[in-house]
Amino acid sequence: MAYTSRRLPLPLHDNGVPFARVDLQFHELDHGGDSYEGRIFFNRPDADLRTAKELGEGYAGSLYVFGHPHCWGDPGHCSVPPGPLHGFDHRTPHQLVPQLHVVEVTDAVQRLVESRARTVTVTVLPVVRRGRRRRVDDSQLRFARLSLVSYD
Amino acid sequence: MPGTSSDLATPHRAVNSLPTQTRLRPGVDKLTDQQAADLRDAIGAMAGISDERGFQHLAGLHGGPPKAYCQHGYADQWNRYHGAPLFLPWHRAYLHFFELAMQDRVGGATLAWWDWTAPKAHAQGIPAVYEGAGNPLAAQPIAAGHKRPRGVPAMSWRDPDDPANLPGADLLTKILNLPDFQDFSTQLEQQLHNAVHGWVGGAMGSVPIAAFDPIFYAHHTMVDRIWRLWQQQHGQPGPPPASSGIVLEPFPMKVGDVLDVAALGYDYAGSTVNVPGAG
Repeated sequence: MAYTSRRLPLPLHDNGVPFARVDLQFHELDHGGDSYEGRIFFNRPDADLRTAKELGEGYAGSLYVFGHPHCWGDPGHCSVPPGPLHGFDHRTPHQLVPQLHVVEVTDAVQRLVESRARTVTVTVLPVVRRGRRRRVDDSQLRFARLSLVSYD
Repeated sequence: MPGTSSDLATPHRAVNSLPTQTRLRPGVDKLTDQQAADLRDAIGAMAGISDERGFQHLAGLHGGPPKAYCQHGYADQWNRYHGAPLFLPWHRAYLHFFELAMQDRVGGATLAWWDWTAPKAHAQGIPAVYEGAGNPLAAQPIAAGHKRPRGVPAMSWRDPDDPANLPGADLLTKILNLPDFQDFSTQLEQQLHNAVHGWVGGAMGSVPIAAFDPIFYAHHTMVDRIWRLWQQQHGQPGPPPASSGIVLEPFPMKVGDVLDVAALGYDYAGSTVNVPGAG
């Protein structure tokens, strides 16, 4: 079962000024598994591998995660510490600190707004590839929060 | 036994007395036979060295073992980086030290960039110079001498997707036009760099072992070239001045040291034609 957000309000053209850009932000995204493509669809909770990556099908873009599968250390090596121990701790952040991923979705939002839609659901299909074969692996997709951000 | 003054003076060359001619990194598709041979021979020679001058040690600096030094993602939750993504500066330093190790083996060798947006890439996929049995550019051992986690093969391997699925030139142009460096760096990393790692697949699709595939360096040289093109187009280096002093571990360089490719002795050539001079 792919991830689908609750309904989010779409940005409006306040005072007739169109937005210059709209981003989807995936906060604290885990990248400790396989690499994958997260295909993003708007108002298509039924999207699957056969759904075309076209605006007309609700496709808004993809996030691409470069994964860290396999732990090369002893137990605990791949556990992310909560942060520096104190003000004298100048070590670099752990390699598995969650990431912020940003996907520009301006065209897809523009299309929805022009069709008089007022809300949107965001469906993400995490697609893992082996050769030319692809499968949806929901266990790969882990993040804390999703934001839809528009810029005037 | 203490050294004498003559011991100390003889063998070393002062850096400021050495040639400073800028080296041009070529595109993979425009390598001359000699450039391709130098690249192949340099990697092949590095593969035969098991200490810190060798391929295995340098490849391990990226994702480990012993430690993943690479910088990916904009993870500044610890508020260390002054708003600067380190992805591009760290990999520029990494390529610089890798290329120096190549030139220790073969003086004329340079890194080469793989333009995965070009029509040729979209037709053939992996460049031919990186393929072929026995070719040191095709595969290398993964973390030789280290215990590998279960499921990690002994040799690097590739599992490429359909060449038509490589990123296109339109997306590259769109990202190059982004005026804000943090935005540019994030989009370059996530929409182009990450996508190509996933496209090559195999070892390249896994952060800890990606750098054991020799095509990693052609991919990242392309990424570095894109940063260079962005700097030219926008007339600024990119990272905020407050980040200049950030150390690019484990290299003896800081962010401010890698902003100007001329200061590192290289640049990128679209094409190069030489003719004899006069006199």
